[in-house]
Amino acid sequence: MNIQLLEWKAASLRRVVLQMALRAGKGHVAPALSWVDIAVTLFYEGYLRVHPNDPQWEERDRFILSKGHGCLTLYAVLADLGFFDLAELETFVKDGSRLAGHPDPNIPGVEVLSGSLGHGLGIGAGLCLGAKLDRRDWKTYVLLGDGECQEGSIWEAAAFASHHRLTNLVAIVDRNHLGATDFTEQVMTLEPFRERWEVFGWEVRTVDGHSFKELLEAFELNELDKHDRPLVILANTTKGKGLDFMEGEAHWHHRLPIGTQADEALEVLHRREQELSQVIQG
Amino acid sequence: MKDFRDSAFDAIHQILKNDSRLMVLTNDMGAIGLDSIREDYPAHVINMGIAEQNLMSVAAGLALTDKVVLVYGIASHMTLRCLEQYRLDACAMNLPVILLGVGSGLAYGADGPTHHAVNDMGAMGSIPGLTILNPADASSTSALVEWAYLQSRPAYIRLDKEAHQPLYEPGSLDCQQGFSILRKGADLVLVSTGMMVHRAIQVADVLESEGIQVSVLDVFRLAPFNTEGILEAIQHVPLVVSLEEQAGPGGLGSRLAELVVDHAVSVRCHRMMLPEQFFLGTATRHRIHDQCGLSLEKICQTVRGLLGSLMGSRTLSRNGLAVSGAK
Repeated sequence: MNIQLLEWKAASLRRVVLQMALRAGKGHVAPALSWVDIAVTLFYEGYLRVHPNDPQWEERDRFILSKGHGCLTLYAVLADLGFFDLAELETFVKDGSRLAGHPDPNIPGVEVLSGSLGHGLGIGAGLCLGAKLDRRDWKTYVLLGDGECQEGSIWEAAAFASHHRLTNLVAIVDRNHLGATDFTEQVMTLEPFRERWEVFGWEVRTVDGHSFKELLEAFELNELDKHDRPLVILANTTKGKGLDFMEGEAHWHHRLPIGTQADEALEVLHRREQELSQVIQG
Repeated sequence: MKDFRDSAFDAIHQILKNDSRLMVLTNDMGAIGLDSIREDYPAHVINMGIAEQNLMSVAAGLALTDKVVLVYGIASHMTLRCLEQYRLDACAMNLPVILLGVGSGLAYGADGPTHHAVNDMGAMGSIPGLTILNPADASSTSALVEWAYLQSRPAYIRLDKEAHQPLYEPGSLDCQQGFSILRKGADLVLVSTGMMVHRAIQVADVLESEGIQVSVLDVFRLAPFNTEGILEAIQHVPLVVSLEEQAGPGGLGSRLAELVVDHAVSVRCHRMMLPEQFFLGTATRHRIHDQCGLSLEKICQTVRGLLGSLMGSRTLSRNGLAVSGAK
């Protein structure tokens, strides 16, 4: 896809994410919006090798959404790619639906249960160790929240992965600078974040997490580079990206717009999607 | 005499001869049996360092690549230190991650409460679908390790640190049954688990010399609890006493009491266990047992008292007590 198509896809997914949450009256919209562009790059540019018609294909790359509360984006992507029917998105958090507020492996395309933070990197490291032992080529991509990196278990896993030279492991940190209620640097500082990963023995790339150019370069380099350590992409993002009133505001972590604000928000995302559609067609 | 840990590692060593999927992970714990496995299968033993949360998540990740993972460490650390990782990453996804926790109960007596595993069965018993195994001798340990491996699902095996007298001939344990009846008697049933099975046998010896007929059960599988089988074994006696080196809810006594209530069993049920407290300072297992009424003498005394209190309402048998309608 060219970058305009990726932008249109991202705009479309942002609209779907908000629609799902508004329909359900529930959902972590802002944490989902911040990693939409990362998801689009990973899932639509062929970096993550998966087969929607064969979710359990043995040689697939594994994707772990360690920040499980960002699942609205994952569900929207998986349905769009055909892992399950698009209509199922309408059941999000409805009684009896597979699409819960945090993802589990009963959903096609979801590898592991996530939602409690700090688990995904260790599971990913285990997957990568297993793949290495079996001499398999597939990779594991783990999306981490930055607030999640306050968990000690993340750093246990980081040390383990570099010690075992798990070059088949790629972590992407959705660095939106916000936890559930406050800025990460106010709560418990993560900086110097890049250096932390470096001293733990990781290859580090910092990108603008909303720039497809930079995201593509980072993933492309990972394909070409023969680095001897696991890779972490620190993607600087904006929580609530795409909705002015929500962007970078701490209190929107799991809050939804209501009434006129909800209608206007949906209209903004819809208009953005249409504008990009016209650019592509024009 | 072979101890529990050696028996467990012998069984693992045997399994590895035929199944290259088996991995053994440890949080920097050593054992002669583990060294021997490492020598023959170096790629199958990983020292994960002292990082138990990551250990459990990595174990789950490995299991997702079709490995069967045995995790070896001190029981109290393998369970409560990283409970959530084990519960969510391994158990909720029904992955074959099997915990081998050495030092059940007060086996690490003098090492203090950091190393006592006296609430572990309650904590682990709260995990849906988890199999909990608590062998009482070396032979049943190796049998249960192999059985857990064949089940290929989450299991927690508690291993005593001390060697105990053999109770079973190799290959004789009915793992599927979940418990064994070691002795049969009509006056009371001692329901025990782990090292307390040996104490129960001693108690039975003493009481039988006094003319009291005692059944002894070795419940080596706490979960899933063989409700039907144990129900059958405790019916038709006036008194059931549970014996365990465990405190609080979720252990053998709790499960027995639940069974008695849920099935309206008409029996006097008495639970003998550790009190809910931290045993600070240096105290041997023997000393704590004595303080808590779990020594041979004090258990016998308690049981005699219980039998005595029942005598008023029950019919005396020729040698001791028998309940009306007893078999």
